[in-house]
Amino acid sequence: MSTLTKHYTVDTHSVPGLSETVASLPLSLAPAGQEPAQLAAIAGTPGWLERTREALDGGALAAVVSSPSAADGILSLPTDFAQRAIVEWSFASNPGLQTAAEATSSLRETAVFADIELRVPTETNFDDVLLDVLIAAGRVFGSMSPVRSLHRDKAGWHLASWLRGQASDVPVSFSIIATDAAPATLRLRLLTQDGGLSASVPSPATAEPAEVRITGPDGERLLPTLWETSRRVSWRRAVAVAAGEAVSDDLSELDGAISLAPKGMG
Amino acid sequence: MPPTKRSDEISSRIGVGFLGAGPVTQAIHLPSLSRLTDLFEVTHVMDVDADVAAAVASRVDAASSTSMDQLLGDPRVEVVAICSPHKFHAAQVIAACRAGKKAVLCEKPFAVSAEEAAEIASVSAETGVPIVVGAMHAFDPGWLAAEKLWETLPETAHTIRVSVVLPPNARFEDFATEVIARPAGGWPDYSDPEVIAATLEGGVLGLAIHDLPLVRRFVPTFDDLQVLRAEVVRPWGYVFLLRAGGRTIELSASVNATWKPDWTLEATGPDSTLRVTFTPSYVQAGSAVAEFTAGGLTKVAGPFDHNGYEGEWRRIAGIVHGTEEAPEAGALIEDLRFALVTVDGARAHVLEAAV
Repeated sequence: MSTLTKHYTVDTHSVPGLSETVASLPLSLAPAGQEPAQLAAIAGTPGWLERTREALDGGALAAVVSSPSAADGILSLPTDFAQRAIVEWSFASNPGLQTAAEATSSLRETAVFADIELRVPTETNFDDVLLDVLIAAGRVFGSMSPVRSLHRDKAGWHLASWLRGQASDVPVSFSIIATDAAPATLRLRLLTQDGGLSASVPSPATAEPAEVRITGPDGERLLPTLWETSRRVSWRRAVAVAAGEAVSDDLSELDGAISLAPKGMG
Repeated sequence: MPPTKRSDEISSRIGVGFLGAGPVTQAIHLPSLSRLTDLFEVTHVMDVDADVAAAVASRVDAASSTSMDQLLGDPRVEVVAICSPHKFHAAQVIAACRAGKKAVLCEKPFAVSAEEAAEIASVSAETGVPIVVGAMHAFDPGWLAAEKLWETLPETAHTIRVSVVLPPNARFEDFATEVIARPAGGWPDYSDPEVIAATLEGGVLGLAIHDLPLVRRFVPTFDDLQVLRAEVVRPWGYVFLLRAGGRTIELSASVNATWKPDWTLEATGPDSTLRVTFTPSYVQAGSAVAEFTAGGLTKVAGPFDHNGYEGEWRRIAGIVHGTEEAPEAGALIEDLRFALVTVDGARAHVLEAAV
């Protein structure tokens, strides 16, 4: 590869919409054509773990799994494979949430309440999106107790938890709400004794930035906005992993989220 | 103390008497009425503390007393505003009705039991005295505009959410006026489930009740109300998850040391969603802003130039002058019953969880 064509190949047909991401990273990614892809794109439907194992076993340098469903045996994947598996979440992978996660580490000690709400189109299978919500909550809120399902019907799913490691109980509320009124969006808040953090994460179909605000005694700060989709961020990470510049811990995080989810996922 | 105004003074303005002269009277109603001096004049202020009554009355050049009977016997009191502790509300509303006043404004809740509420409704019907409950958000021009925007949402909404984040009341009382004789503050000790239950009751009847009449617009029935979650938020607040009439209702509140208030009601259905952002209590900060979204299109109403407190008083003026209808007593009772059923359910939920 020359410096102008330093790219990894991707099967752009394996996951819908991937061509756009490849087109947005032309120096890093290229369509695989008839050759085996160097970076595997894995749909997160049931069986994704086996497909990931097969892809990495077959020579893929890294695998990007889109919105994986709950699965058993994740931690049985060899460490070398697990470190090359990147999970792409529609909302939790938004770069704004990473910014929020870094910002909240100093806020958690004084947290008093946290809530997270995902609005999705009607007919969405809530099981398919809960893990995204739990990963986002875990990254921003920190460690939580197992999540209890309070009510679920076709209009929504409402769940509850507590933040762990606090001096007193800090309730956490989760809501998944079905509506076609507007594009999907994720909102979350971590309220503290004197302010807190709020984040609004737009639909993954857009590079519109998440809006993350921190409020404290001195005022309110809008964190820098990052105009990049969750998918593009995830594939940039895959490139870094493939190049040996980074390792992934996403599957371990996913396994932790699955352990928090209500058994049977509703 | 005798009235400071000449008793033969002729005024076309509506005379208002206050039962209770604490922060709500001082920081909410007197500033609101100071914006409506063409419609109202405060003629009498009663408080059990004679010094407080006299001091507050002197601000508006009104008479003062320490006795409800004295206030009700004052012919210059045409409308009675009840701003006393909750437990006195019912008896005072009934007494004001029986005194033949033109209208009664009672701070929420206007009773603390269904029996009291029914008795009030009976007396109101018997005497013909209209009653307005001071659920200010129901009179906020932003909310009234939302009613015109929301199309079929009251029938289709499946999720209603009210979130309140507020500094302690004193912060906004101080922005509104200079308050005297403020009750002592402090936070509860939550080690006792009874304290938790009492705090949640206070949360419903003291804060959530501002919006429960609004929530009920989207909840056709609540005989099947279930409390699925009822917990305190420290240092003071609550989080409730309710199911009633096929709807899910989330109520959360956090009163903490933040400077930034946030008071939002959202109702969401399969095709549309409404978001109403209210201004904080006490300050004259204009109305709520309503945003109704359907099919990706958002219509916005507000802000308007006055808040729900002023809206209450404008409505009362309309009722007294015969240009507006009084709220229907049955609806007021159902609003109250909704709150009381929530309180009972929350208490049972907390005490069961503690066993």
